[in-house]
Amino acid sequence: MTFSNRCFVSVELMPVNKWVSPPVRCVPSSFQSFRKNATVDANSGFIWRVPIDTEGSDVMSSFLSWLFSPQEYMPHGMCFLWQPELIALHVTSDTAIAVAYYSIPIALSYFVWKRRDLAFPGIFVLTSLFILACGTTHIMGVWTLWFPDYRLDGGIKAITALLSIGTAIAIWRVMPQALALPSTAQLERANKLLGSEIDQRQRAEAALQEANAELERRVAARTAELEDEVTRRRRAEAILRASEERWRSMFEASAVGIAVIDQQHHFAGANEAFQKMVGYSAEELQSLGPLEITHQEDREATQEMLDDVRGAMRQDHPLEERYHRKDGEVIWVRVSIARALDPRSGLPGTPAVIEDITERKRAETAWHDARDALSRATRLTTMGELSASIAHEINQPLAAIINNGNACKRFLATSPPDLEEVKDAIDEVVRDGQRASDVLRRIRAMLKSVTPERTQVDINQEIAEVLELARHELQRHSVSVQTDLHPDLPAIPADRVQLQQVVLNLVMNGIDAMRPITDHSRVLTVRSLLDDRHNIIVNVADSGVGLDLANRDRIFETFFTTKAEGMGMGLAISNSIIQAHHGRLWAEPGSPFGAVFSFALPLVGRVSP
Amino acid sequence: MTGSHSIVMIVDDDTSIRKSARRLMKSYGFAVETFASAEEFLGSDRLDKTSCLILDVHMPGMNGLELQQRLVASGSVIPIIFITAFADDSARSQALKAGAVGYLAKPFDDKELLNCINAALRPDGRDASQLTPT
Repeated sequence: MTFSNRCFVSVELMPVNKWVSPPVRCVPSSFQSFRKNATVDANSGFIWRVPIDTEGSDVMSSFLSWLFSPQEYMPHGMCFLWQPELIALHVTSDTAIAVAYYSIPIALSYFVWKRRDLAFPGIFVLTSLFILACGTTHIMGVWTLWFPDYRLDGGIKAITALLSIGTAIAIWRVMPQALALPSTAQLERANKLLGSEIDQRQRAEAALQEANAELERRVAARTAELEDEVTRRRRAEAILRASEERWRSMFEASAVGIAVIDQQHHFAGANEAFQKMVGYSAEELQSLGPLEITHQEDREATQEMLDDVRGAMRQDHPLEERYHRKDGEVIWVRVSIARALDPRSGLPGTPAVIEDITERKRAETAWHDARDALSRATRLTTMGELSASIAHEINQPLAAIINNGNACKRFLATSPPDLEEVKDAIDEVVRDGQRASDVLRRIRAMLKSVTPERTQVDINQEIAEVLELARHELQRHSVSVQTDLHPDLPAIPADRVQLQQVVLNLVMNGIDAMRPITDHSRVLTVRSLLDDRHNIIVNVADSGVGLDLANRDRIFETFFTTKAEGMGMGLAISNSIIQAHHGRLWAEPGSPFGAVFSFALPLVGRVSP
Repeated sequence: MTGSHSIVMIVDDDTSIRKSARRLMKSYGFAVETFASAEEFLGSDRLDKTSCLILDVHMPGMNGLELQQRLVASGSVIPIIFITAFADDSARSQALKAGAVGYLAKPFDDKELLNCINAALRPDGRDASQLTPT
């Protein structure tokens, strides 16, 4: 034990008289000095305070030597009169207590060693020492039963006392802090709270992680989408670029002319084919428009087309017109403006496709000329077939004229001349001369070689002319004619000679078809009517042999004929003529005999050459 | 030269021919009657009075040749002079074979017609075919 330089130690002491009254010879000299310094209560005989001066080592050493010096006291067992039961009881009890007391500091030390986080470990150490000291006092209780080392016993008790007091003080001092320590229940609650907080936090974290993961997924998905979009756009751009290049190359390389007409009706752009076609360069064309290079006669139609384009009304009506090339040559072109561009599209102008159709026009003209020539040739052939009848029609009035002339000579030669008869004869001569003239006029009309011309034609009148022309032919073949002509047919623009040719051809075919007929009357019926679709219809019905159904569709083909002497031109030419008038020619079986040939001509028709 | 008792019948569907031929016959002094068709002539009671028949070949309905056949078949001896504006050799030979006095193409010369009529009106008129102008 170490003492501070100067301190007071409170010691529970035995009554002074118990140790004051040992035999004097036993008191060591050092204790004498100790006694001198100790305060002795005279009444109680206890020493209360003993100042210890460490500097006075001699005092200490004298006290220790006193403590361990041989003593001649009687063992404590003497007090029990050495009664073995009592001795045994004390020995057993003290030993048990000592063992128990010793085990406690060991357990506490183990506990402290194990629980490094323990609060107030000093308290535990103090308590361990104090209990250890208590255990030792009980060992000394057993020891002093036989060995009267009471001084040592007392010293140990003094140490025990010191430790007990120190422990008690320490315990009281730490009491507030100890009380402030949370209890197990509090700890558990806190723990639970903490646990649930942790749970919540974990859940929150999990949710956060989930949200993060979701966010990342979305970001990844959106990123992928954006990448796709970028890829798509790049592809679309590439396609667009390729498309534009393709269109441009088509524009440049096109064999047909392509031009863009701007709002001022100028050629804002023109490909090479168009430049070659009109002989102007692209720069020259920029100050020219369709109107400037269009042929005088076609300007109105061109203006109309441009107005339609401006009004966004034009759908797809190609216009065929003539252009003046730079070198003055006139070319035929076909201009197509598929669709006027949406003005909001931002593209400047309207694209037009221009084809050079000069060759086609020439071919068409040649074809029309050939058709007209063939038509005329066919007409001549028909007239040839009619020549005998025509001669008859002329011979009749001629014969009458000559008869009348001869009669007049005789009437004038008589005396007096029969002038009345002469006058009548001359009237008839004039009439017959007129009649012959009419026949010749009809023939001349049919044979004249002038180019076809469109006039307003009264179909009924043409039918009557043809029937008059064929009158004798019909009569010669014993064919009776019935007519049923619509009284109010409007006139239509047509080539009258060609229409007469068609009617005559149908009449002649009817006569031919009725030649073999002997068992019923030969009747040719000619009708004109107006259908509900504003077409003029003409029927020529015969009571002849009828149509061979197998050849029904072929009869309009060129060179197809069922007649021994036929050329196979009549119906083909008639069909061509009617088509040129935008009409239709067809054949049906007659009822009860024969065939009905009909053609329809639209009242409102486009004029074509 | 002309027989006022003789009546020349003209059958022709053409009015001009009928009128002009009638006038011509009249200028020659013949009595003349005209018919517009074979049927009209056959339907009349003038067959017995007919000295000479001037007949058109081509007519609607019964034509001249058919009328000739009918008359021949019925034993008639009326001399017939055909007139036609239509050149048809087969009709001509058929007509002459059947005993026609003449076969004249319109327009015909008045003298030829007169010759034919005179031949027809001769007592041997039945053989007049030999005198037919060519």
